[in-house]
Amino acid sequence: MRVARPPALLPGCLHPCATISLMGVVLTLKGVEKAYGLNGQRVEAVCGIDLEVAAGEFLAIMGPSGCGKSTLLHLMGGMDRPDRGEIWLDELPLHRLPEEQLIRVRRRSIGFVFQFFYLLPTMTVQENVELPLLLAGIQDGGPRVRRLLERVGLAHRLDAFPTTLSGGEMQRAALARALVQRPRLVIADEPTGNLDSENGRRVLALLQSLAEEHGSAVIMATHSNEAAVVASRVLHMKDGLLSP
Amino acid sequence: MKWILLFHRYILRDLWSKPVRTLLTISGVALGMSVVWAVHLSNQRSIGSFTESLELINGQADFQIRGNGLALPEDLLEELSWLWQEGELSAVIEGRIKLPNRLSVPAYGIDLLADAPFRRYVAGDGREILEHLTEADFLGLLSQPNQLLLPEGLARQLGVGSGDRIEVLIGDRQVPFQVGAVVRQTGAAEAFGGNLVFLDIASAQVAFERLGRLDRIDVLLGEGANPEMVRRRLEEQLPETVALWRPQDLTAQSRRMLRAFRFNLGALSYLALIVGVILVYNTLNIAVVRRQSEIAALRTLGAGRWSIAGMFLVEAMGLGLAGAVVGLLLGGVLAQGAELLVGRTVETLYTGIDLVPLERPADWQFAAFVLLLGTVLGGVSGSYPAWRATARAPVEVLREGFLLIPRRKDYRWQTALGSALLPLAALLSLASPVAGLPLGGYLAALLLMASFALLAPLMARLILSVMARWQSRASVEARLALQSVRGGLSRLVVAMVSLMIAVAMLVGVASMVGSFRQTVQTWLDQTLVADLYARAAAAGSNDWTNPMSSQSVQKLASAPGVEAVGRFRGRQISFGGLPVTLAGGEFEVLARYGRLLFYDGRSTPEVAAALIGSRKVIVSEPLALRQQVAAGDRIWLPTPRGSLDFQVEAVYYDYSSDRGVIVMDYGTYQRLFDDPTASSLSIYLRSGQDPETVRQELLARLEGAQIQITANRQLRRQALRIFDQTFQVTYALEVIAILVAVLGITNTLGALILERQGEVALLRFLGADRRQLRRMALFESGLTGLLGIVAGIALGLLLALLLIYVINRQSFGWTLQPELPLLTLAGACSLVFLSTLVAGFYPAVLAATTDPIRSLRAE
Repeated sequence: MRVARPPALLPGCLHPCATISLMGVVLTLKGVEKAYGLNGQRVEAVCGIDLEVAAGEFLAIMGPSGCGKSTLLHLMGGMDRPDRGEIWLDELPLHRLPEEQLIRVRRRSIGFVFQFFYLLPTMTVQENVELPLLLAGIQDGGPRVRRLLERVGLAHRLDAFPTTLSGGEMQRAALARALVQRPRLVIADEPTGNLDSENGRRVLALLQSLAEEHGSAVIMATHSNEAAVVASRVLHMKDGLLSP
Repeated sequence: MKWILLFHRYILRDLWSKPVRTLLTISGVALGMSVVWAVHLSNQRSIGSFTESLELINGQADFQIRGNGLALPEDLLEELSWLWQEGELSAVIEGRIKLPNRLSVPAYGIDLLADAPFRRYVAGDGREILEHLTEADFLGLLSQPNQLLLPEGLARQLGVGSGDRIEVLIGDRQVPFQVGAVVRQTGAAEAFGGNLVFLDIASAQVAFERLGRLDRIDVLLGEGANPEMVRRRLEEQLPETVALWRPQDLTAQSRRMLRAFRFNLGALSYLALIVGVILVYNTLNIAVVRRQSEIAALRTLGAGRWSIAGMFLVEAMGLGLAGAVVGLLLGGVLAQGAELLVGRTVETLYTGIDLVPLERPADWQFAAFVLLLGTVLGGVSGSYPAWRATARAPVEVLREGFLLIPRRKDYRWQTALGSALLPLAALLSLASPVAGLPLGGYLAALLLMASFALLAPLMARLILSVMARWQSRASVEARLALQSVRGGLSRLVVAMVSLMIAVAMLVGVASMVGSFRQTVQTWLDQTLVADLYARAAAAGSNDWTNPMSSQSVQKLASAPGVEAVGRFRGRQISFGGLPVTLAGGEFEVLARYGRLLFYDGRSTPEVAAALIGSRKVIVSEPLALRQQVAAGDRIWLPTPRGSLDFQVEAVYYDYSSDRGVIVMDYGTYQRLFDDPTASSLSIYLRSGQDPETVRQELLARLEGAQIQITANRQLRRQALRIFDQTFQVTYALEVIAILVAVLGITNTLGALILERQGEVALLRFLGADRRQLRRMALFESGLTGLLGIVAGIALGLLLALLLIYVINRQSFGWTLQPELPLLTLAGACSLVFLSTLVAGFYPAVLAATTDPIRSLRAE
């Protein structure tokens, strides 16, 4: 059976099913499959996944390199379309939304955190965080941005350019950028993969607390057991399949 | 609003953060644009000054009655007396005189009583001279025959004022004149930049020895006159050799005469622009590749694909516009030099009149066109990079993270398309000219360039793979450079293409000019065989109005030491809508002593024998080609005995002018035109005579007759000097195109070094010192330059064939013998190669000053 089942009970958390029933489902995947070509070979990256993620849930997906984690994350984030199956973000069918609408969904409802931060080097920290608001046409987001940067400990680096930041600072800025829209869903792809353990812990703690504050569901792909500990649910991915 | 903000933060800041690259790109476009603007201005001011001067001189006339190369009998005025009821008439004598400052200027004999309605002459005190001519003024101008009206600028140049005496040259005579009045440089006196003189028609008839004859009668119709009726009646009344011209027909004829020159100069001016546009493409392409991951991140955050592409497109258009703005400013400066060169060339080749560039308000319409062109070309060159910016799915880019490996591009479709364009270019080169312009040839040249641009990666790969075979013998830096160029070929190829096009044009044009020069030299060697050449001192270039008197000719012909003289008398006529020279040449002398080269390979005596005493002519090659006249055809020519038909006996090679020449035997000419004068003489000396000694003796023998006698060698030198002078503007345009391409190389290599900072830093960690990195960057620059030069030479040789056999032939009607100026080309290519090495200094400094720790940390 390829359906991923939630673990019976995760330490310190409600039973996921109970969470889902209490807080409502943010993301639903039904029989999602995705394959792509690489150097002339067909790679089955995602092989029929069913999954539900509840609002406020922190889901960690673990697995070795090349197991399909990033592909799955891109599908869940509306960056890519499945070959088969359905992906629902709340009531929105991401798998069949036209590109323009998907763009709008990404602007409003999904935040991204990347392993390589991807801050735009020509923009200051404040401007980078402000970027999703700008793209969504929100003009007066300044106070919100500053509050968020204060929360992530970057209030003193508002006007700094990314090249002058440390790795931890860059990822905290990226975190603020992902959450500035109070998104329904935060997709984090190896957010600590490029950080030392100290900074990694700090970033995860921030991700967890900010997501909780904003009521956002977090789906994080990671190699790190240490990172997975903060998650409310952990799933393992291997050969395109998820398992508890 | 949000896009303006995003454009500012994402695009503009990136441009500002790389000021050298931004400046190089803008400079490239600016140089290209400045050339277009400068050539336009110089065309407008120099060539425009000629056509506008004609309009000023033609004044308000509705018609001009002109003999086609023949004077009009004065009696015609009486015969046309009915015209006074329809409007005004004014007779004019046209000539050229040489002033004491050696300036050859047009001189107009006007009817002081009748000219006021046609042209304005304003005195120094601002009054209209002819309208307010007092009786005393009039009598003054009339009673003293040799009175000149001088424009104030010219009077200043000569240092004379009203009442002063000056000696001018007319034909082979020195004629004393008095300055009757100095007029303001406005109205008719504004023509030719004020370099002209006016005199009373009676004085002009005496001075130019045209008693009882007129050159033209201007007609200004009064209110209520029916122009169509007047025209019909005039056409019925006038003999067939007298033509009725509207003033605009005359200026149109001049424009037609200069059209090919203007067109070719204009086409050449766009060359640097093409190279500049490739530079914009290059800059954007590099930026897009460098920023792939940023673009992917932006798209992930919700920026639409077309919005991002739009920002890059606007960036390209902005760069084009900025380049155009700077180009307009720079072009204004370049135009000063270009005007001089263009004016001199047009004077030498066509008008024979010193063209003073017109001072005129800026042509805002063309300036706006330049700005629009810059913006549109920027957009066109940026459209592919803009599309490419978002062509890769963000997930694909994000999956690769920072390890974006430049893909080894598959150039199959480019190679196929490039190969397909070659036969298409060959087909286009066979097309006939359109309205006398070699459009097919130019299109073929563009297709050739496009084809080579598409084939450039293949050529580069071939050259590099050959080089790679010997890399084991090369230094470490050279090997690293070779590997880097091979790896980064997809990005370097654009810089290579821009240099290739610039070098190709250099090779093509230099080969064409070299072939032309060699052909002219051979032609001069074979046909310029007389020992001395003589012409009236007053005669300017392309000036048939100042012949030598028959007495002077007689004196020269009968001098001891002179074996024979060959007379040549030319006059300008209109033939097939273009001004051409109708001439009489002494074929008996030519057959015995001289030589012409004929299309059909016949000898001069053979053709001369057919011409002497017959109604046959020979025509020059430019006339034959441009007006489709061939041996055996019959053509109608104006003579005092009416329009007569002549048979074309042969076509001869002539590189002295592209205006076209029709030559009959001098005996026939004499019989028909009853004109004993000669425009020039070829003087053949008895054997053993020293040309210089005879020249001095001849000058002494002339007793005051003003004749220039030039020795053969001196004339050849003059001819080649004029030839070189006419191509100066071409070379100037070439140099600018090369400069733009070199900027492109600096730009590209600088960007690539910045992009590869991590790699450079790693080399530092692995033990490479600064000197090695510097040398590596220089090797890369040299290698890119070498690829561009090799491909450019190959393309240039094909362009040379197009220029020689199609473009030049269709534009000017000259057959050139192909000749590769190897030394010039080797020198020019070495200079270009050196400049690409210089272009490598900036990237070399960048490479050497890379901080390895910071760079690796940034990676």
